[in-house]
Amino acid sequence: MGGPTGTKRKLAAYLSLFLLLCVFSLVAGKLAPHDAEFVDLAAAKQAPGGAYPLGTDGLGRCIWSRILAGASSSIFASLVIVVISLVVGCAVGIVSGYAGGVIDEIVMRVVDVFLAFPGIVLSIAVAGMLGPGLKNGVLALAATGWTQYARLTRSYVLSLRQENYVRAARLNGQTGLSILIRHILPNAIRPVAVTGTLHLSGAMLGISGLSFLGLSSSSAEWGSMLSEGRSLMQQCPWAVLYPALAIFLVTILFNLLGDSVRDVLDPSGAENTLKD
Amino acid sequence: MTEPVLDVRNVTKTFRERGGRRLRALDGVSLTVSAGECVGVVGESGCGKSTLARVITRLILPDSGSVRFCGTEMTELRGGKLRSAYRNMKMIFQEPRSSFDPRLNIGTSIREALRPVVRGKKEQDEQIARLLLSVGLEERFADAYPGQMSGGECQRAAIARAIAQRPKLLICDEATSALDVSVQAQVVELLDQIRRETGISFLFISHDLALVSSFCDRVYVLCGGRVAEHGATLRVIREPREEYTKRLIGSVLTM
Repeated sequence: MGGPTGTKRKLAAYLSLFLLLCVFSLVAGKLAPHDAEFVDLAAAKQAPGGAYPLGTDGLGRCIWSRILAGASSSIFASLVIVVISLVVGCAVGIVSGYAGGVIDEIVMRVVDVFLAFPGIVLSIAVAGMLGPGLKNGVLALAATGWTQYARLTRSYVLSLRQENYVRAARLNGQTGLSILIRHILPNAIRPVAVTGTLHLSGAMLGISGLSFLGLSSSSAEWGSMLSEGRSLMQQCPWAVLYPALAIFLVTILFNLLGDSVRDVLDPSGAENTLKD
Repeated sequence: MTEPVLDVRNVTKTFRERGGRRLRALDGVSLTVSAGECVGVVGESGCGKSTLARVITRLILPDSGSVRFCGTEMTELRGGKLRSAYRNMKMIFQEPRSSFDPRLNIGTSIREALRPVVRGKKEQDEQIARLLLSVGLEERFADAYPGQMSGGECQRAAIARAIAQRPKLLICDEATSALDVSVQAQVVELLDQIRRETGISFLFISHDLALVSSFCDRVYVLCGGRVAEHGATLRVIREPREEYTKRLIGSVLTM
């Protein structure tokens, strides 16, 4: 178990950066020099510098303050998306894989229907039905994210059921439920954890994409900042540049974290690091 | 005459392959194992040996036929009754490492087998140490993980786990074929010793006729899902009646 110390050290570094970012996002709103929602038309479209370190947008709102205020919603929304998808998807996958037969068949066809559409298209449709708002955006993305966990968990449950140690446990007289909890789940959890961390960056982009389209949060959120700044890109490019940079950096960090989690937990997949 | 420990009668199992072709893995196989007896099943790969083991352990249900184990019909058992029948039946697998959960140390794996028969953590610990010693492993192996042990050590531990519940029948499915020759001999010797001390019946499934002949009282020769020949081991090897058996013995000798 575990890779060479190098990969573990890398994971520790990314993990502490990630935790730092989470803590930071919680307090970031309070560090903002200005009120993120305060409109000051006299100070509109100001270039970075002076009282506004990253400039102001078309309504004179401080971009630095808005990025800080948006951090918690952007980062936490993606965490919540991953957690909901993971829990729901794993539960569905376990039931499907363990029950087998008709139940498995029905569940997997439902999953196939979900997978037949590109995820973001389905999320846009769901978000459109639910109406705008961060909560609905999260639900919309979780509604499409769970399928990958369901498929993954199911396939692991199916293959682990055939393992000799599971057969040995059956011959010990253990019940199906105890075998599931003691032998199958713990051995399936690693690939699920890897998928979860890799999913973080996708969820982050998803929530930004939905807010960019006006389907998620309308307050300070990185995606919606991009959307609003877009029309003024020629006059004040910083209104687009800095939120985009924030999304970019956090997504990269999530991706690197996901990769190093995989390298440590599941070394066989390491050669795919740069392929995605 | 007392009832045999295992009485397999006329078991048939057909698998449907991809493309709708039918593969008859077992075709009217009958076999008995009496108390304290060691019965071998030999045959080349693909002859239905493993399917037979899976049917006996009720991992799969046969299409027809009966599997009576200690007087109960295995094919009709469900739930709790099946679990208590399993208590008297254990299996040793071909791949020693794969028969242990990679996340659990050997002691924990053996404890799982002991839980239904021994109460109390201290009693279980003592029993684990005793079991490990009885298969020639030191006590410290209780803390080892399957990945840290050699194939032979793992197989010994698997035997320790298998005898933990004092079963009546031990099924060895190619239990020694993944081990190298000297370890193979040691493991067979260990099985023989257990057999003499405990009186457990053995069903020894193997492709290795030489190994079976040194260990088993009677032998069944399986060919294409049918029993080609059966009888006392020495008789079958010295005076094979069937063409297939002769060829099987011939292939061992020419090697």
